[in-house]
Amino acid sequence: MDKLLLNFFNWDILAQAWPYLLKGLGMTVLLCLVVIPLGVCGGLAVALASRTRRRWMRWAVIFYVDLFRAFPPLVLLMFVAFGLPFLGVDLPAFVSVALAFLLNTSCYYGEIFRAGIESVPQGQFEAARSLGLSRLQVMRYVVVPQAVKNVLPDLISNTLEVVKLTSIASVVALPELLYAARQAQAVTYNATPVIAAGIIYLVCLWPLVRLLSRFEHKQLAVR
Amino acid sequence: MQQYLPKIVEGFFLTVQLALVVVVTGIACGFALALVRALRSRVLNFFIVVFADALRALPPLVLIILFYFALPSLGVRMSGFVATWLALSLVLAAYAEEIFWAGIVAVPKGQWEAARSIGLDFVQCLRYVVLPQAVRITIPPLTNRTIAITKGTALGAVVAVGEILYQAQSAYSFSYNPSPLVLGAVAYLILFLPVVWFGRWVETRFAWKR
Repeated sequence: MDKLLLNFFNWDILAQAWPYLLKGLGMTVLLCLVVIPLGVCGGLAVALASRTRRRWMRWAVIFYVDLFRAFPPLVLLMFVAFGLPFLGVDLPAFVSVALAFLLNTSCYYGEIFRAGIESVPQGQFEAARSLGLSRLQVMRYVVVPQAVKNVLPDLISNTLEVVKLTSIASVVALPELLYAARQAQAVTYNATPVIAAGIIYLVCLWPLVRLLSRFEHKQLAVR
Repeated sequence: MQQYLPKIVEGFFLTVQLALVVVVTGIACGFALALVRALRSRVLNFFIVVFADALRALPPLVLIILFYFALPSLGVRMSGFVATWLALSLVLAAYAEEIFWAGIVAVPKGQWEAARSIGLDFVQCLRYVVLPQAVRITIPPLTNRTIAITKGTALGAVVAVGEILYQAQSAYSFSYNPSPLVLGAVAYLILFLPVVWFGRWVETRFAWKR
């Protein structure tokens, strides 16, 4: 028990590591604030592009989505961070992380938005078109608002995954929460900072998980 | 590039192995937990809900790092493979439990009551009436979640599991040339593109109306 307290819940170490952890948390929040809106916008663009009448474009979108859904996010990140410099594209760590996340999350958000748009009945398009709205206006004012409402649980669920995913940025030395915790662990030779980081993730994300559980039960229905 | 091919192939099979054990243990544990939850014991359910919530809120990489770097200070040592397997299985178990449970709850109460009233006991009722309906509707979300979590095997690279990414990365740092990374990426495509297509197929095959 003493060993557990000493190694995992050591207050002195926590007090030392706390400022670093807070800084890391700040970076994680910043990363989320950049990556989530980027992913949502990218996803919306992907979903809209998959609805065009141009066949080659639809195929291109499907290719893009399947390709980047097949790569584990960490692989994508490594590729962007370590591979691109050889092509002469040397990006700062933050930008490479943002780019890798954009490629990955836009596909997932895109699939969700596409499902949402498909859930809106065809009559809505036709009615809106016959009112004289342009195609873009139909999407903007009629279809997308309903689509978003229909797939809101999936959108939130994916956002939760994206927030958790930001922890992989630690692998390319972006000083976010997990990175800060691991640095502190290496310096103090004590696991407390990592435990603390885990608890911070838990406290921040628990409400979202609870919310999702509610949605899930409403969503599944036996026919 | 050629000299690193055997390493990547080796990593490919390790990734497959790791993914398979994760899928089997994760889904089995999740299913078992959902069944326990169907007993509706208040104490047990409390622990299951806490387990499921916690593991869905924690990033898998944090868990892997905890198991691999933190547990040794308590005298619990495990290889990177075991740490990754354990972490991903637990995460998958948490998600699978929630999905199965949502499926079980989605079966209307009348079905339970009707089944019980024709003389089936609790287990028979679950086995012959509720689960066949529940499992069917859980297939699409479960497939998607499972695919997402098996891609987490790449996280094993962080704790020196010799899977594709690790092999590609060490070959890359050894040769200071990105072609092993490209090779690794291709290996992932070969492995996961069919899986992604399978997921698409499952979604349309078992589609349900909202």
